Amino acid sequence: MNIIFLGTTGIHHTLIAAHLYLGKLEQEGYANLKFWDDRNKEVLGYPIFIDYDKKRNKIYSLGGGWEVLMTQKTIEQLVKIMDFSEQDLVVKPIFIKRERILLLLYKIGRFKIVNRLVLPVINYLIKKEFTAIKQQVEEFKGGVRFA
Amino acid sequence: MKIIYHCFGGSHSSVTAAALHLGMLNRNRPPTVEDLMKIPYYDKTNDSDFGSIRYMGTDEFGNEIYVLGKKSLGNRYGGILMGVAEILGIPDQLIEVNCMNLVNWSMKIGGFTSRRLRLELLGRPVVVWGTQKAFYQLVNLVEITRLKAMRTKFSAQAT
Repeated sequence: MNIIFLGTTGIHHTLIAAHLYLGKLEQEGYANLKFWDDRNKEVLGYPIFIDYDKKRNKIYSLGGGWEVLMTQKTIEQLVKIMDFSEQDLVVKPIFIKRERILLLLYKIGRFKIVNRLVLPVINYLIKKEFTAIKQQVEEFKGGVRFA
Repeated sequence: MKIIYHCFGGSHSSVTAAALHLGMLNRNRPPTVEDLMKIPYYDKTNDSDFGSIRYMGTDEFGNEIYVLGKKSLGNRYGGILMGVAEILGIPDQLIEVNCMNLVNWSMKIGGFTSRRLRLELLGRPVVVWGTQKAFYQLVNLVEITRLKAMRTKFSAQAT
């Protein structure tokens, strides 16, 4: 099975969600995570492979921009069209209160100089949302059925 | 193989391209208003259709043709579609075609007026005119896509 954590960006809160799901992030030391604020990865639009979980499910992080629910709908339909099912791929959207601000900051921070100013703000926002992200991951862990 | 043509609303350029692919339109002359309005989904979509992959038909080679409206997500959406296909292990079973580059200002303004503002009487003639202007570019895009589909199919069969 494949699991995609989907959010406005795939390199911030969904990255944390993926690591929380994998049990690789207990504390808030997320700024050193691989792919953290990795704009080169994000701009491609491809799901970012994070790691395998204990049951050999592949865990991904993905950014859907302003349209998280629309992206989820498209992916779920694509899975069906390609003759697969939710036993093969599950999309878990991760929502945070300040996700639109986060996306805006991400877009503003495309220039290196600006990014230096923006990144601490992103870190601060994520820190504020950490509990909410963790809660959504825990709920998902409790609800997901594996193939 | 599945081929997905996508644009902003999945209502004009992608639908016209899909119709060309399926032979619903004569590729040797620009379509009339009547020709375009006969195409399923042409200038008929609403907000709930955003993000929906809609089936248009199957071409003579057995490829299933779909259209999709992705709002302003641009080239990233192609990456998302192909990324999912790769995750599922079937990247050679999907071709995504971004039609946004061929959308001219008439199509943008006409499409917005007709679909978003619901002023079809005003917007439809403008978007039809825009589609007629972009028609031969769409023909070219579809021909490239058909060749790509054939090449992908043959290389998959060869391996």
